Amino acid sequence: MLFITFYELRFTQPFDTPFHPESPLMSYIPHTEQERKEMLAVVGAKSLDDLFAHLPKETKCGPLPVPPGLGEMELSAAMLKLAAKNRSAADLACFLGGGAYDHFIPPAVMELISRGELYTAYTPYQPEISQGVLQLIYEYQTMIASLTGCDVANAGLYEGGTALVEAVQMAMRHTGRHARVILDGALHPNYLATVKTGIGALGVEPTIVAPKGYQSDLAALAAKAQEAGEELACVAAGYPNFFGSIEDLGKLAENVHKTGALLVAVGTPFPFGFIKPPGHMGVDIVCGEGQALGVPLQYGGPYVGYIASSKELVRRMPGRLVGKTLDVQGRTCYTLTLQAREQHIRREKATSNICTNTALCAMMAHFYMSCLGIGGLKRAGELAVSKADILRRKLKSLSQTSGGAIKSVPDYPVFHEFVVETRKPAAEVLDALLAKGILGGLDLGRFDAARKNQLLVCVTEKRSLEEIDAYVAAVSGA
Amino acid sequence: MSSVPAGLKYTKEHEWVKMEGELAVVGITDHAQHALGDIVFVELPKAGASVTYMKPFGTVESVKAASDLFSPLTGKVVEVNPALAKTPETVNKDPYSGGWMIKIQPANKAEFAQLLDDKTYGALVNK
Amino acid sequence: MELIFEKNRKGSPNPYFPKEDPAGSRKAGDVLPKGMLRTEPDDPNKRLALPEMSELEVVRHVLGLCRRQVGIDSTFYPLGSCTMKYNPKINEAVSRWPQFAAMHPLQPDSTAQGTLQVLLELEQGLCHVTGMDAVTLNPMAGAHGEWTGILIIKAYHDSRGDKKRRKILVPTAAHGTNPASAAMCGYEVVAIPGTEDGLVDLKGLEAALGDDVAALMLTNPNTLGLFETDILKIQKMVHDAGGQLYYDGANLNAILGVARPGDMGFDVVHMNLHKTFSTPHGGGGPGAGPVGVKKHLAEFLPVPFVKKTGDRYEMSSDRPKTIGRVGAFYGNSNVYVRAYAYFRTYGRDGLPEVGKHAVLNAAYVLAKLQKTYTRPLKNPCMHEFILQPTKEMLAKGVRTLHLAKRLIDYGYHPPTIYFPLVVNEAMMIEPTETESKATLDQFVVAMEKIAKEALETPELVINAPHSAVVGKVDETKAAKDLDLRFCACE
Repeated sequence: MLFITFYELRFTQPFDTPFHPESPLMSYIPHTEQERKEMLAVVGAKSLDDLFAHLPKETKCGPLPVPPGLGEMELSAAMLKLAAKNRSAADLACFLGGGAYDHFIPPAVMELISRGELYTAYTPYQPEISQGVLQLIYEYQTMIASLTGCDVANAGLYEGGTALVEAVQMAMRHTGRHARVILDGALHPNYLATVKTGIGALGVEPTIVAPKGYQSDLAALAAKAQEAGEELACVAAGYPNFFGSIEDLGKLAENVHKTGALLVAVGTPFPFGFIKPPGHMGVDIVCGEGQALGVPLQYGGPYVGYIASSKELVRRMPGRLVGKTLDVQGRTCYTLTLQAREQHIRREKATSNICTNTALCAMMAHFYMSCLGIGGLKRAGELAVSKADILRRKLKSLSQTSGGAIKSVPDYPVFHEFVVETRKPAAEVLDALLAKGILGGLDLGRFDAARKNQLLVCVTEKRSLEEIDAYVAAVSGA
Repeated sequence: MSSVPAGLKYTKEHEWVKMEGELAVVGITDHAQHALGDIVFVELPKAGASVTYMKPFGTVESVKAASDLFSPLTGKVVEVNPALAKTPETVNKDPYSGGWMIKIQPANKAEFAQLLDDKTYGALVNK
Repeated sequence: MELIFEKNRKGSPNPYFPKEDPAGSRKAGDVLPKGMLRTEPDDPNKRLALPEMSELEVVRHVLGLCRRQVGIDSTFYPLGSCTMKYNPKINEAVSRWPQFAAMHPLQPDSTAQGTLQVLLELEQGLCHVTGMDAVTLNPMAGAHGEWTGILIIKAYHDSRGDKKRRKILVPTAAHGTNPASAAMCGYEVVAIPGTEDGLVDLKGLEAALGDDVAALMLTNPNTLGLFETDILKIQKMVHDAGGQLYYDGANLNAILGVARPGDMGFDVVHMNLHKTFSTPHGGGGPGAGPVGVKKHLAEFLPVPFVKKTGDRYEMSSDRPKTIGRVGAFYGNSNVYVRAYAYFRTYGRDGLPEVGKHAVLNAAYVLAKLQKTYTRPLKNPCMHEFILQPTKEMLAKGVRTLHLAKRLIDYGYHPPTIYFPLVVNEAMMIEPTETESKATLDQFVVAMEKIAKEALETPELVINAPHSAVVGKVDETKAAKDLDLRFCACE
């Protein structure tokens, strides 16, 4: 039984990395022996343990069964050993997307984010000494709002899946409708699962509309919306959807609005500098994963969920917002605003429970967009589209000739990610690609056994023609 | 000392009611506006909405606080103060007149008797 | 300072991407469907507004803003309830190695053995630190952990067919996230009063407990910085009533390595690793909010999780009774790399020193400052404490807000103020263990000087700060004349 193994695992095999029983105490606690004595005297305690004399003895623990400490030198070596067991996208050619993307990030982004003033600060509650973070977040809000084509954006949420949960709840609050939510079945399966957890807790079961092939079934979404009528809070559709498909959501927005509900668009914002952003198609709330805008892959986090909307919805928005104002001398400055929506003031009636968000990742996105500018973001998008198109066409012609592992390459409009259908299980094709140093994509059978011969492939601007050719060679032989 | 005009009725949640012919005019008291501080936003129902005795009908927000508004009477909202959307600070400056919030067509006049008079309410907030 | 958009130089070139199109490529405009390219509408608010400038100009803009910002690296930052301890640089360095930073969340387990090992060993370590039986790393911050933990409690009661438990009890002094998280799980929130000593009122708790209560959420040391010495009684009362006990780990630093929530009888805990385990606060995040549970709740933990078979690590979702997913991937993995490095640095003998010195530092500053300020609560101090202005200061019109702003002039980040809400004029000071005696002594001197100023030259304090880049900020205007973004039309 899985449950049992889980426990056995923990108690019988703690810590693979070897113990150093004789290691001296390593720490960043600066006290000298003399200082400790003087401080204890001021406090009126004989020992450090005295400070805990009022705790019931049953609550206190002896030495924990964990390894002794390591100095930085040893720690560095131990971490290097662990690191060596990974093979990252830095040494594999990454054609894997599925909600996290390997884009080129100018080193300036990491350099700037390493400023201690920024990463060792906390939420800017004291505006007089936090103008740096506050202004950067205000600028980030502007960039996200304009990129998505919306009026306003917030200061960031955890990541894409939870951003969608927040968007759905925002729509519920705005419409006052808490019964029905309709989701595009072509959303990321992990997002769908996260929403089920999130609104399931409130007793709401989302209706999921199956995709048409690899495209969101916009007509069926509209029909379902009409059927739900005045019970409906929102429809959420992918753009680009999980399979990479892009389609105009304008018509769907009109149909959803007829019921008085809102349309939420979910997708990576990287393409929005190049393709029509959701805010230009009548979408009310745009949300998703902002990682593609300058945040490293980091094995899934920390990322930055983004959310943007029309200004009518701003008071329903979850999380932090930074606003512009004046100081006592009439100088322009920035401060957290509309805090009365938030948990520390409104408690159980807050728009969300979110407190700590992902300000640092939002600042990374800011630095990325600032370095690239409009021109750079458009050029990166253009290269990604062109390169994805090259691989897609090569795989298509391969499927039409010798074939190799590729059975077919379905046609539908995409940005930089698309599905190919494989002759044998996609997992096996991926193994063959990995043997050639290529992360070949995402085996869709991981989410749905019926899709085990489907492979989701992503080509960012970072992939070279050599890597693309190597990919084609590997699958033609596989 | 908060001002508690005579002739009005009050709730213990700090709303006031004044009858104007058949209609009940509702706002929040001087004590409430003072406790909230600078009011930045008032969220009110639309005309035509139903409200229920001592149930929330809207919210009022200052920079550091947000508070539900409780309806002193059951009935239908017939008019909403349009000025508060642009100048919510009127509630601070003029809580009993320019800062009125909604006018209700009461459905149950018996509820009126359950509200506090100025003496009782005054004793509550000016103790 | 000017906004970055106001420094725009339209068409400024950049050095990142080749100008030539890849050989054999079609133009993106020909690949994408007609009508799907972005065009800029007349509404200036809907146009793409990204800065156009050189990288050097971006760097200078950001460094200019850094001069208007303080962090722990700049100055003493005694922000109560936030545990602003030093963020060791080696943790940052390691987390930025490409072997960790360039790992895709969906790559095959065979290529992620190092990361998976880090995550599993951290889970194991956190189990020991909290005295719990199983830990999930999925939640991405404290509030997310609370939400996850309450969902687990809900699943537990539901699995027993016990569906009448609709209430979550929360002390009046609790963090705002507690009631907000409970409400997001569909629970009714009931506030439990505190005693004059700042502890849970057992009579009030008794009265609130019943077969409709799902859980009590508690912070210990509590939000007033005091240890709930009746915790063993409390846990018995809650469990006897069929409820579960939830531990808000915001103040875990006080007891790290000394006492464990698991041994106090808590069923669920969340930890804030950006507090206790020194991962950087990032100007407001990312955090990391792992959740630990006792055995009877382990089957409800969210997915995915790391498991080990033989010497192979793998990511699994095979947990039939799980509450489900709480995010797209496996939590803030790269925050965990930092937390793991911190955990390995301190280890068995170092972790208790963290808790002990955190309390020593707080007790020391309190011992010195309670002569000049009012201390509303008398119980032994843990890792943080509350002060108030004295009656004499208040009589001069000096309030906590003013004292806090005056500290800025002395070069410090102010403490947490006006929290918890149940104490008037609260000023919550948490020094953390990484501050030296010299730093604390200097802070005490500054606080004493300010106390003197408050009585002798109150205007000086009331109008502070005088040295910051901006003066008092008009927050009313910010909320009323909402301006949340730059508009190109300005």
